[in-house]
Amino acid sequence: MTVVQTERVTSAARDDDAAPAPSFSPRPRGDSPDANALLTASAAGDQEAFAQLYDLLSPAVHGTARAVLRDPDLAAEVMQEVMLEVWRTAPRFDPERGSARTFVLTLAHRRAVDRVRAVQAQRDRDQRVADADNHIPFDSVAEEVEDSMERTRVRGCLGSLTDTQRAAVVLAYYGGRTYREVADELGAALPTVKTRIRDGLIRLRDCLGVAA
Amino acid sequence: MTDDDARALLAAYAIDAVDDDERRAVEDLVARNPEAAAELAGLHAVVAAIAEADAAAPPAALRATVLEQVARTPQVTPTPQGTSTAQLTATPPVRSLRDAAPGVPASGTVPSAPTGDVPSTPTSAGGDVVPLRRRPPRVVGWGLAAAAAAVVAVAVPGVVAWQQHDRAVRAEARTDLLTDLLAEPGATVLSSPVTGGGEAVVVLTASRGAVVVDGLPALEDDRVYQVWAMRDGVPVPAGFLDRNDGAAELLEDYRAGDGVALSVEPAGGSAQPTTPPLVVLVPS
Repeated sequence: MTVVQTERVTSAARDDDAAPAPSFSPRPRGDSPDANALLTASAAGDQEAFAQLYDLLSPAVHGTARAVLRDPDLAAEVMQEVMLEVWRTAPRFDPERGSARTFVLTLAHRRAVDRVRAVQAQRDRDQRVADADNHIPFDSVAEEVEDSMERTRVRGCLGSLTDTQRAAVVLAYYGGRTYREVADELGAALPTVKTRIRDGLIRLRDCLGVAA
Repeated sequence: MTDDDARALLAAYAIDAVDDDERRAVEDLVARNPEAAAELAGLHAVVAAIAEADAAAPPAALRATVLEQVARTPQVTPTPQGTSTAQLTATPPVRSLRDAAPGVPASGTVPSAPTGDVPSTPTSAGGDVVPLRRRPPRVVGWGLAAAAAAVVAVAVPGVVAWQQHDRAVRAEARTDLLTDLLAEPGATVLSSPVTGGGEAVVVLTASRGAVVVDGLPALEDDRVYQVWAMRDGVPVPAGFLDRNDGAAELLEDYRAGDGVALSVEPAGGSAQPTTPPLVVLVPS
């Protein structure tokens, strides 16, 4: 009897060491919460998981909005809208169609661009009333974007692009311009601009060390 | 726009530098072409990497604000318009009410299940199927043959609507969903006219509930039909209707004993109803 009891105790202790007790929580343990798991848990209504997802991704969402909008209040607004949209639409997230991180961060850029275009359209309407001929040239937008960049890592990598690639990527990604607007401003043909954007992104990929 | 044109736009699309028409063309291509989808995934990964390199912590106070909003914000249904119906068809489709429900008498009072080729009028030996629109709300027990006839009478307008408005695969998924639910022991069907026009039918079982509507008025773009599970008299958010005509939706967060209500809410939904219910169907 004694022997049997000892074995049982030992066995139980070994089991505890080998594997933690099963948990109902779908959240991963450890220091590197996985965005996919957190978004999947959020999709089931888990607000704790969403709070962790917020901690994980809101800096990149906010930084993207700030880089595109260059206005702290608008950036904060867009960040909140994006995170709320992520929560609301979480049940439709399909991990097989892409990672949660990419889903959230591409949404952040999309919403930031939506907002910058809405703001620009409003400015255009106001401007037409004030002065039909006074347009802000894209050149100044591009300079402003580059001058205001605290994002040293991206700035460094933008240096690895050719001048024409960099102009196209900066105007489109940070300026919220369509490639047609970029072509107009740069006086370049549409196919050329499409190619510059593509090649520029590929160089950025290599510089930023994106996994293939 | 040709596929090659759309393909050439992938990078511009990835950084949101296209207009709405071009966006649709690219999304259409990506849905059909795995190679294009893979290329886009790679470009999106670059966008995500730029976003992370640009990361800047938001004001700390916003965290509590966002989480408080989250606590009040209902989530969407997992099977929106245009996406996979896999979840609806995950359970093996039940082709015949008779096969699936052993308790149902195998008499002429049980017509075949409402599959895609169902006749436009129910053929029932019972004969006296009262037109739905004039019938008051009531509970219909599954075990009765008359009820089985009524069930199909209820389902047919929806099937017709689906055939008219939906791709066949979606219609079949929805029909299978309803057939499946109706086959569960103790399935309860309630129906009622909806305030403002149209008809609502709910099917409730021990584990699932679904709502079918037909002929509801179209809403403004910024309004949605929100579904509520009525639990001890309290409305609990239970999803949205994809559309106002012929839609069948599984209730989210359904529990046995729940009733169902509908209301019109601002797009995105409400945590609690902000308008009077259009219809309330509660099992007795």
